[in-house]
Amino acid sequence: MNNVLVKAVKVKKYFSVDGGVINKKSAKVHAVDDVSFDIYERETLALVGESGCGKSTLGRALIRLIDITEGEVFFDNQNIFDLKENEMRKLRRQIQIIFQDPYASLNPRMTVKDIIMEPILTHKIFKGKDAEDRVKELLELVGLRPSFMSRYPHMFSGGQRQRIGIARAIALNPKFIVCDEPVSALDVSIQSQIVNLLEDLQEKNDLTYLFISHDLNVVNHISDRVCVMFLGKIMEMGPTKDVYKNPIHPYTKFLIEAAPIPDPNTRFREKLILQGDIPSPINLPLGCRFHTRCPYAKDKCKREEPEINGNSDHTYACHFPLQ
Amino acid sequence: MNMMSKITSNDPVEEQEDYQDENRFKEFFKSMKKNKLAAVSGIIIILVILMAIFAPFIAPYDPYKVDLNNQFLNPSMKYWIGTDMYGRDVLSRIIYGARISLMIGLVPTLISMIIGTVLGIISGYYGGKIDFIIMSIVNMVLAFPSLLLAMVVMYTLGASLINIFIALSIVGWGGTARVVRAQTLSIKNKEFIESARAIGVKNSIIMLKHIFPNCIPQLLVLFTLNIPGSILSEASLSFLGVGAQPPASSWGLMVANGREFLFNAPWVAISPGIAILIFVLAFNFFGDGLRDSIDPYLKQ
Amino acid sequence: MENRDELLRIKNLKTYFYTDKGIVPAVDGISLSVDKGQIIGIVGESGCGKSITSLSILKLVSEPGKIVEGEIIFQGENLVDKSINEMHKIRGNSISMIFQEPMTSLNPVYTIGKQVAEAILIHKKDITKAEAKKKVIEMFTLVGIPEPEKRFNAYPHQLSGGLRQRVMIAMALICRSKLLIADEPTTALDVTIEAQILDLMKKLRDDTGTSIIMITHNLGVVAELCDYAYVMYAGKIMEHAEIFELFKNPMHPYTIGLLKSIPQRNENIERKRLYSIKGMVPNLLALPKGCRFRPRCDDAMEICSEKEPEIIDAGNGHEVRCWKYL
Repeated sequence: MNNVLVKAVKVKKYFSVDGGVINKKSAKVHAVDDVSFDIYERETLALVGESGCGKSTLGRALIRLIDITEGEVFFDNQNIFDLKENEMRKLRRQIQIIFQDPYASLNPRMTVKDIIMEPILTHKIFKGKDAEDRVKELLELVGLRPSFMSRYPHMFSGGQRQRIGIARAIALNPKFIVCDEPVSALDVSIQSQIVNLLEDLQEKNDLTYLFISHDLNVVNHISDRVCVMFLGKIMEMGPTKDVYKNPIHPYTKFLIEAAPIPDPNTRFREKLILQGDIPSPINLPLGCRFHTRCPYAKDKCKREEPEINGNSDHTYACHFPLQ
Repeated sequence: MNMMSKITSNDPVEEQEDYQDENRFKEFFKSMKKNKLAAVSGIIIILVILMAIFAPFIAPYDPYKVDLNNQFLNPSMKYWIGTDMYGRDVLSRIIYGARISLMIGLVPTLISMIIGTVLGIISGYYGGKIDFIIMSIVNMVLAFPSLLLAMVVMYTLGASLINIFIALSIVGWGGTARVVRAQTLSIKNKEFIESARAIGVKNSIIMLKHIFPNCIPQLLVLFTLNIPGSILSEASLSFLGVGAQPPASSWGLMVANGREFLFNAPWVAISPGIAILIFVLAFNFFGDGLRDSIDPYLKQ
Repeated sequence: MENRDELLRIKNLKTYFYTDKGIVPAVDGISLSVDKGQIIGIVGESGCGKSITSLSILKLVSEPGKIVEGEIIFQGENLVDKSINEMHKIRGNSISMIFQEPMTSLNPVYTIGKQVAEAILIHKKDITKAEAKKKVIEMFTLVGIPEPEKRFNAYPHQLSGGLRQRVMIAMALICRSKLLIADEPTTALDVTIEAQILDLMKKLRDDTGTSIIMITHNLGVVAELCDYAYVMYAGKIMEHAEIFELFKNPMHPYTIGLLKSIPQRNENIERKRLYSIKGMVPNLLALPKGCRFRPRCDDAMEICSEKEPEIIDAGNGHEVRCWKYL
């Protein structure tokens, strides 16, 4: 069993939203609401959910890109929110992030060379020619020609830009990378290239990934364990194969069923379609957050929030689990 | 397959066609050429600058030489725009005046834009109280009638060229600060800024290397459009008697001094006025053209 | 022979863009047909020309784009010849379109009720505002918008993405359009909402007989919804067939590659490496000689670099543009 690399303990992140000009009452968005989990070394933990579930916010909180309202995050047994500014800066060498939008994640006015060199120069790893050599090495690692160094981002396709972003993320040899929907904005034929690249890099460099995505097929392929979120809370978490084969929480089951399957023979299956809209993270339902959409909801669900149940491997938060 | 070998041997490298490395300047000139007005304006601006630099070689006469025998001569082959109240060749004075007017156009604009940019970026990036304080000051400065403010400064400091620079700089930075702040706000939540923070880049470096360069296109345009403003402000100040002092002569001062003689010797006041007009229009059209040609580039 | 059930037939459509850098053949000779009550899919990745195709049908392509060749026969008439005024009568009426981003298709300053009512008031001059409102509420019910009377007065920003898309569908169908063009309507939606919208579109076709052209890059959506599909690449159709035939027997290397690239839901083999099509989509200004897919094709032959393949009939209503099947 590997060591725990990242540990989230009762993490909460609330945002204030102004009520408006006349009604000054401000509301709170419960983006992340009491989330705890461990990420083990060299594993890929997937964070899945739909809009408003808090997965992106949680991803950023885990690397202290944003502050949290309550709770703790440990990296290698160190509470990252306790660190001072320069200690945190040093720690950032080990935790990195890859973004979803290949167009917004690269500074349009910097050359590829400058973009990838930035982490190297900021942390004074190399200087001058050595730094340039390292940039060339990184470009090759991600499948791009080193001669591309002098070009600007707008000259590249989406897939190529994602590769540049990945090169930047691995420049410092980090241990942990948050991948925030890294292939969602790419064409299908490019998605598989990038997924393969991420897997190769993980193998080669002993990386640990938090893979945030809404695409359940990609998640099934790339992740060891999966964590299903809804409105800021974890609904279910466990080994990916188990969760997909035998989902315990109704929401998980609906999520898995909802994704269209590229096989017309399955179109006549009994498809469970989840009705209703995704509730607003401002006006939260009482009791179980999912009960307004859940076709199996009973009285208890409307009053009481379910505790986390299950064994150490596979947990869920539901009063009336499917199994 | 040996997974430990370099990725490129396993993963098919995307076939990359040779992108025609577009030359940014070439693109810029192409789009400016299309806008004839902007192109002509650009040429005029260059001519004025050349005129200012090579004034001693171009001007037919000494602009300061007083010759009371030749007062108010009509425009002729000898004196193309005639002479003024002191017998000085108006054309030469206009040519030399370009130096002063250009300096007045450029220096305060540059200074105020530097102040405005720095404060705008800080204000937009940090937000919160800092933003509130800086923007309140900006609002106060902008709310004040700028000419009045400039006059107050001139009265306090005394009339001289340096003091004009100071006065116009104090008055002019507000607009730039607002524009730069807006640009900063739109950029600061973009993912490449998040990335810089995730890498551990210090805030000051982020502002300098990430935010500032992305403001440059807009600043360029703002620069060309603010220059005429400075020139006109100075002209107004001179007109009111608190601008440049003789013998240094800006176009504005020439207009002011020639005002009395508008009926007997109109060329004395009108020709520098036309010079101001052409110069200001040229910068405006050029600035517009610049903005239009930069916009599609930005859209990329 | 004229097919009585045929609603739309596009013959060799070419829409080119005349840019500073050259002529971009965004749509380079597309032929397709849609029958009454049929749902067809146009599948392809970014830049393949599928969106331009749909805009061309409604003649919504703006400068520097132009339809340079081809016919678009809708209910017996060639739309390419029609004037702007004639097209105005058709758009939103007999042919409607919905887009990927419902937020930008809806005007934020008007209520959704007003906007949908406007869609019918423009085309049916003889009904009153009250009658229009009634129809709008009927339509809202049909597309599954809860509390339709209340929602009539809601503004777009008050609705979720899924609801807005339903509003768009209501707007598109309120005039009982014969043909609905849906350009990536669910790409920006969450997966459980996407499932609802796809289900809704199926239901609408079943209830009202509206034909649908579904434009998407998602093969799963095509498999769930469409009766027939066209696969586009770099401005041309590479393959088309009836849906079960296409998935059972994909012929074009691009189609096969796409299908193989999708991670399977039921992966039994541990971490099998994903298949990926090498290379990337060509620059339309500098297309390779011969077949435009050749640089990325594992099965390329010599003739593929010399001549562009014609469409070959493979039987069963299945046609493919590939030299392998000559």
